[in-house]
Amino acid sequence: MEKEYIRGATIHAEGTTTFIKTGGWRVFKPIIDRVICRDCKKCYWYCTDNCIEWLSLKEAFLLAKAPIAIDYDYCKGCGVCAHECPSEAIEMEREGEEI
Amino acid sequence: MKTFLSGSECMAYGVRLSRVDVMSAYPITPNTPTLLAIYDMINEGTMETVAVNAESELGAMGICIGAESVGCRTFCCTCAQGFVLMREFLWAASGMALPVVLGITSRQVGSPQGLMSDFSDNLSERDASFLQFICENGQEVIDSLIMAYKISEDDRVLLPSLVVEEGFRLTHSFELVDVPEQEDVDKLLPRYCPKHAFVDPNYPIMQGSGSFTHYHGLKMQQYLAMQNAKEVIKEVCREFGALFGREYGLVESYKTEDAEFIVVGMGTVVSMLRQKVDEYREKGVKG
Repeated sequence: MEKEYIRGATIHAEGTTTFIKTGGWRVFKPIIDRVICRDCKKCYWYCTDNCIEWLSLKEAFLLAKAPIAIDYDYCKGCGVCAHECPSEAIEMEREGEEI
Repeated sequence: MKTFLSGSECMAYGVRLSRVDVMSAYPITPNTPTLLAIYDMINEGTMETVAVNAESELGAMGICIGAESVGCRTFCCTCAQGFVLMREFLWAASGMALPVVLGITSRQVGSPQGLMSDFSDNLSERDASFLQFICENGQEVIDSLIMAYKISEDDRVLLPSLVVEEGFRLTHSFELVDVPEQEDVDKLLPRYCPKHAFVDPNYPIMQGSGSFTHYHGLKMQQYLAMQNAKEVIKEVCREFGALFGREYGLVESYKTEDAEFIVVGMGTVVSMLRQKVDEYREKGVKG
């Protein structure tokens, strides 16, 4: 099998870390309870992977999304958001089956 | 131009003639006269190299890698414990195909502490994929530096190299040297224009990435580059010989055609070995 390698392991592209969906590494999935969440944005600042979207009210209305939303493509389920939420609005739910 | 130079000054002249863009080094006996000679030339205005101060040898190599990765020709100078300190970045430079040239003013790596050379510093890094040019006298230092840049920067090689001269024995001794003219060196050594390491906002690349799956292929390339270097060295030596009248090769031999036994050596000891071979031949022993 022939393959072309570029000397020095140089990659001719930018932003390639986004190609890998690290959400597949998750065991626990954070779910935000819309009724309790008061959009204080604390989880946004604490998220270790920058996976939480903070939309303005206008964007949230136009896109029909909540102002605080978790990007599950990249969320690794570390649980820091659930730990930090002052209203305890985030639950970590087990994804997949017990082995 | 024939002039009386110390081994340290020879290295400085080699750096000047090679039109090095950026140099960074940390002082360690016996590289200090080399660094002083380079800084004097920069202050006089006879050399346009940018000298960057580093906090340690590791920092110096890091600066050289950074400059080389955006297309500058760089030079670093160290020895002994300093060279061992920058070990991590030597692997980075050879893996990233950055043709940095290091001047090694070889000195033993302590313990026991000492100032004379036993090549323990440069030979301890054989695995790091560096080409090594070990010099017998000051003339070879100047010539090797110029040729090292030409060889390392060749597209078939792209490996960093070491130009090794023994500390004190060669750096602090003086001899008559023929310094090549800048115009002639410019004919041999063009400006460094890498196709693989550059900064272009319209074409972003990532250098020094990691890989599990492609490790074999990338390391094989490095191995093949080292094999290519043999041919490239012979070519460059021929070109150098045509321009300056001094032709070197991979190996130099002296009276080996009819010898009964052969001594293999490198560095300043070779000068003495040649004399000894002649002495022994007079006594009837064919060395």
